Amino acid sequence: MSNIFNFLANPSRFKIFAEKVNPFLLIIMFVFIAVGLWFGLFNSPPDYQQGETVRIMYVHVPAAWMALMVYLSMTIMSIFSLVWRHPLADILSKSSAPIGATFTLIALVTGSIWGKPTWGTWWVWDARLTSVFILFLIYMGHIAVVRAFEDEYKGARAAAILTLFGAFNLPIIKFSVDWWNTLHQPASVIKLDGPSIHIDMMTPLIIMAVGFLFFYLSFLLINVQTELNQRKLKKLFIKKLNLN
Amino acid sequence: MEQQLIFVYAAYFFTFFALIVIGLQSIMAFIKANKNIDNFNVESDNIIQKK
Repeated sequence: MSNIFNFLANPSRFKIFAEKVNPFLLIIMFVFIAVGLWFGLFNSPPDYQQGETVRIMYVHVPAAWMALMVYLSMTIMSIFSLVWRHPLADILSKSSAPIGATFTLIALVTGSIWGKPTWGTWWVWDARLTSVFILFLIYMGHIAVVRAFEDEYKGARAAAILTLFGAFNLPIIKFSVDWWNTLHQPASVIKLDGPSIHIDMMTPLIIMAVGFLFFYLSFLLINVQTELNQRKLKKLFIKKLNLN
Repeated sequence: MEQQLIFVYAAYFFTFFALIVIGLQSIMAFIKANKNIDNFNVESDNIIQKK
């Protein structure tokens, strides 16, 4: 793992890697999202209780999974950053945060839209909804903290510490529906005794989740390249100032 | 059923609107950073001269 990190930490090597890999990631993303949309909107059955509104699940649940997955990857990067002080870990974490925040916002808004016809209300302060809202605030905090310091190294360290503290929220989100009495339904896919969802509904869910995963990977690579270019530019400018 | 579909389309519209916005923002920032690197010599000379 460390070798891969060291290999990719070189900006020019990373750029070559990203330029080669990214077109494939983008194509896979488009294919999976297009197929997921077709399945989700036209080729999956309505629910016997919820009717057509169950189709919201195919964007809401993958977005919620991605919100948690992106945060988990940021937590791992924060450990790399704090323990091994690897600059690529900082860049990966910084580049992930806006994408993770977007997925969290999508999960909150689509959940709210789903809640109105299903629960009769747009929002309740139950444990699941509140803990996901806190996750969104932590993402926003990360985005703010990492840019708040003039010294990007200090900003990255502060953001890494914030991320590690915020990681306590992940098990709370996952198990909130089991620990507390919530309006939000309990898990029906990722649970110990296997998924309790029909294959006709599971298929679009998984396809869309893969599409969202590739969205994250492709735009993460784009964001990392941007950040590397900005840092390179800063260094070049300082060098030129010193020469003058 | 029609009323239910309004909620469905609203959720899908918001999802893809948000993904397109964040995607475009990333691509614009990437293009801008590349352009800045390409124009580095001219731009940096101008900034240093102004100082």
